[in-house]
Amino acid sequence: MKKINNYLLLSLVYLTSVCILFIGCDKQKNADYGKYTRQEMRYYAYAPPNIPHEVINRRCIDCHLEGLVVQGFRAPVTPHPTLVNCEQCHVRADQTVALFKENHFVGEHEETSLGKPQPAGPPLIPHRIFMRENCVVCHNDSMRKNIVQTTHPERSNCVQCHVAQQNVAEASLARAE
Amino acid sequence: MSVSRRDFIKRCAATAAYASLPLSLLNNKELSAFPVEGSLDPTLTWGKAPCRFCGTGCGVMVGVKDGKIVSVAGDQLNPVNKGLLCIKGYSLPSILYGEDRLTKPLIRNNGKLKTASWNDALDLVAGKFKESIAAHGPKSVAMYGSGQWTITDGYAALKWFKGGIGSNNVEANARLCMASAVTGFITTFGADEPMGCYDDFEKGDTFVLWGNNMAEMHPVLFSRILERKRTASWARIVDIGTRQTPTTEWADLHLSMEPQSDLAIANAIARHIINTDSYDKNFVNNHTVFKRGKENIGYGLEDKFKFKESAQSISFDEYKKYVQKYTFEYVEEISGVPAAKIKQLAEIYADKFTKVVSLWCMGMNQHTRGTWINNLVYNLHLLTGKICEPGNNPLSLTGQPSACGTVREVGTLAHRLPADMVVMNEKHRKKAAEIWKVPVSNIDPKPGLNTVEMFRAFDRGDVRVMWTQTTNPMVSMPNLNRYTAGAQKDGRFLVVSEVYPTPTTDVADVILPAAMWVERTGMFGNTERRTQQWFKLVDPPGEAKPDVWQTMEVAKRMGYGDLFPYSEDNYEKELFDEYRLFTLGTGHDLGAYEQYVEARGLRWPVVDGRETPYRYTAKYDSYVSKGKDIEFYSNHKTGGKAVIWARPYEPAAESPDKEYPFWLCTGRVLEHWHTGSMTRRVPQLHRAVPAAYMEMNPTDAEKMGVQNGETVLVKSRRGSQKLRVVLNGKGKPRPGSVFTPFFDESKLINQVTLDSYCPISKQPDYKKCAVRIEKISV
Repeated sequence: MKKINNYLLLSLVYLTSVCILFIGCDKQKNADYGKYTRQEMRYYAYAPPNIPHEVINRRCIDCHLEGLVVQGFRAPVTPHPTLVNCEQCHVRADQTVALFKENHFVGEHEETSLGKPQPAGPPLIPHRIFMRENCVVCHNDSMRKNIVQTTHPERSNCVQCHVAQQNVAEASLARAE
Repeated sequence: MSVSRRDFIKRCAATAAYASLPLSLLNNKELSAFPVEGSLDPTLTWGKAPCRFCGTGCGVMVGVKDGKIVSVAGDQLNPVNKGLLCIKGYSLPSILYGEDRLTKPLIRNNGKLKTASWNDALDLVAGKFKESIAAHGPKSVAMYGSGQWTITDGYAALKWFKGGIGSNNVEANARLCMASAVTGFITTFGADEPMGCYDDFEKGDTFVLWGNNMAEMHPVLFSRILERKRTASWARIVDIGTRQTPTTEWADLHLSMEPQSDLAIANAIARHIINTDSYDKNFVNNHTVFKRGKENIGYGLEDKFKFKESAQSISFDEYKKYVQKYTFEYVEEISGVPAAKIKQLAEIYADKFTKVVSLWCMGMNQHTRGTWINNLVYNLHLLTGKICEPGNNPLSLTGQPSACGTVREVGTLAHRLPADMVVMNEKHRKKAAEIWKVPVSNIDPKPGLNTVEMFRAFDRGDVRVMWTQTTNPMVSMPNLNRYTAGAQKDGRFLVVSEVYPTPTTDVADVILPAAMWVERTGMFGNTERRTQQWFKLVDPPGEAKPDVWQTMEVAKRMGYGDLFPYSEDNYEKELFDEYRLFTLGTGHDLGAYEQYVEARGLRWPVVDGRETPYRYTAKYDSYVSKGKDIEFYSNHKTGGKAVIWARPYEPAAESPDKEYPFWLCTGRVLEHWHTGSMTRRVPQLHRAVPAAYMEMNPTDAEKMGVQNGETVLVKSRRGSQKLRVVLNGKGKPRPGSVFTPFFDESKLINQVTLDSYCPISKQPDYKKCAVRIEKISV
């Protein structure tokens, strides 16, 4: 009996530490979760967000497909789960690494809110929707502190009322001469 | 901030107006089904451009505010990428804004660089060229350009050198990148560049990757393959390589092979196709001939190495006999790939109903038998007839954004003229002389020096004045120590046009600041023959000027003004219009400049205003003779047939031995472009991969007592580097192999590599040389 107890205890300790190590540990190192506004996670509006945690386990989907909650933070659910080669766009940009040379680039970010054209109507979408067609991953998640949450998650066809505010007719072939 | 009601209605109306935009803006019918959602910030000015980086040629929309680039978006209207980019593409806005951008001409005097006026700098350069030509002849000067040159950059350099000076010493760094692909095309098909296009990604069944890490190197194209897998459940990926990479993780079948053994594997597959009667008899009879060339052809290691092919026609039966020795068991011995796996791959090629797209890049091209391995993969498609139809093609992927559009099509190589013409052919010289309005005697019929020989000549002093543009040879030349030392010898004069300080500007006598990407109007041509145009969108910093302007200014000061009678504000179009004349009626036809302004690129040949997605097949290509279904019409010698070449396995130039027991392979990583001069100055890219390292196999590391993160010395007969070891990183080499990326100018791995090259293509082999690893005692 004692032997089995010891064995069980040992296994439990082993499994727990593996779980902590596997899921939690690497994400705690050099994690910049505090900087969670859209603007600080990317260099300009249409850039993909950088990875704010160290990457040891490269199976991103394990956390980012369904939004695993780790240590009080939810891993943002990917709005484009069919694009599976995550590393081609998302890189770990550890802010503690010294730069090779300084860079003067200043990125343009989107408006965070464009308000409502009529007081009783729906607010406008102030950002580009391309590759972010799945609204609820940000707008129906109470853990996302900096993002406005929907008052009516039961209505699923968001774009029938909410429209994005830019169009490509104005943004056609420009010629700066 | 709220939007007024009027604004809101205006914008809704504009959105509706967009829906009825003329289809001419969408140059691909399929795009009208694609949900184009507008939403580019209207407070910015937007212009289209192809990406500055790889040979994929993604379309981007560049957002400008107050004269600066502040945003980039993937261009949803571009059929190449349909709005998707990779992290280098997303980093495009920053590449112009590194703090140490070169802004003024610099002249080195007594070892010190001093700023100079353009006049003084250009006069000096012109003077040095004149001096050297007068004293030592046209062969004493050289121009070394780039697959990142725009079309007009290359065309102006070519015209000046070959039509004016009369020197064929015009080369480009694409010699280090695509030369074997070119000679593979020419020897097999009689003309350069792929017969297929990116449409193959949505039609292929099995994608066979021969030694190329597409997930990192052509990520957007790889995304198309992954999407194909997702939507077509039978689609498969085969990854053949000397190391495991991020691509391997997506592969359904991985063949881990010894370096160089691709030659044997390809032959084994051909043998299987023939022995199982799986070859397309009609296709082989009607559209192919068989040849065998010289063997034991050397490695280009000696200065002034020469090679001349002598090929004999052979019969099908002789070819069949030739490949019999490549049994699966024999090839397993050479390659380390289990015979059963080779057979599995062979069956994929042999299966009549499986559409195969073969893909490759540096693994096959940077190879001392690069031409041969290109021929051998073509053989597989020619034997089975899996060619010239959607989803069934060999597709040679290009590395640089305009190795095709500029180097290969304009012909900025030692033996070339535009549109696949060569200096050795009298008719070709006559045509060039006519268009250039110069006496045909100006064009030298003898080919000039290829890149490696050019730098060797610079070292010996046979070349005294060299001008490099948009490239960084003092990081990228193999066996680097010799060439860096050579460039600094007395009596050598090196002019470098660059955007940032690099190890090449460090040894330059004159540094000319260059305009970058959308700081000037330009055109690139990508892997799939798609030529793309962009307009200047922002001003270059300081006094920086486009390469083409610099070339023309020097040429004018040397008295070649007649060659460049173009207007100051429209020379880009005028140069292109003139260059286009070379292409008309050749099967390389380019469209009118205005078409490229409107379209998201067009795939040549552009005939009657329409692009050609698939060449050599009557269904799509108007150059195929009436009555024929398939015709390789540029192969005049064979009457329009492709050549199936009998090529053997031969070992590498320098294999591991007792003293140097490891293979060294070099290459890139996703985050950095080539020598890192642009990408290392982008904070997020630099921070993603701050320094070069060495990948090692964990079993080897354990045997040597080397730990993950430990710094070791990697050493060859030519040089050494201290590198931090990475075990189980993104890439995992085979036992007996190590890998180092070359983007880090503080870790010049090319001091270790060997300047061996394919005798036919003259392209160096960066993937194979012998090294030893030494622990560094604490």
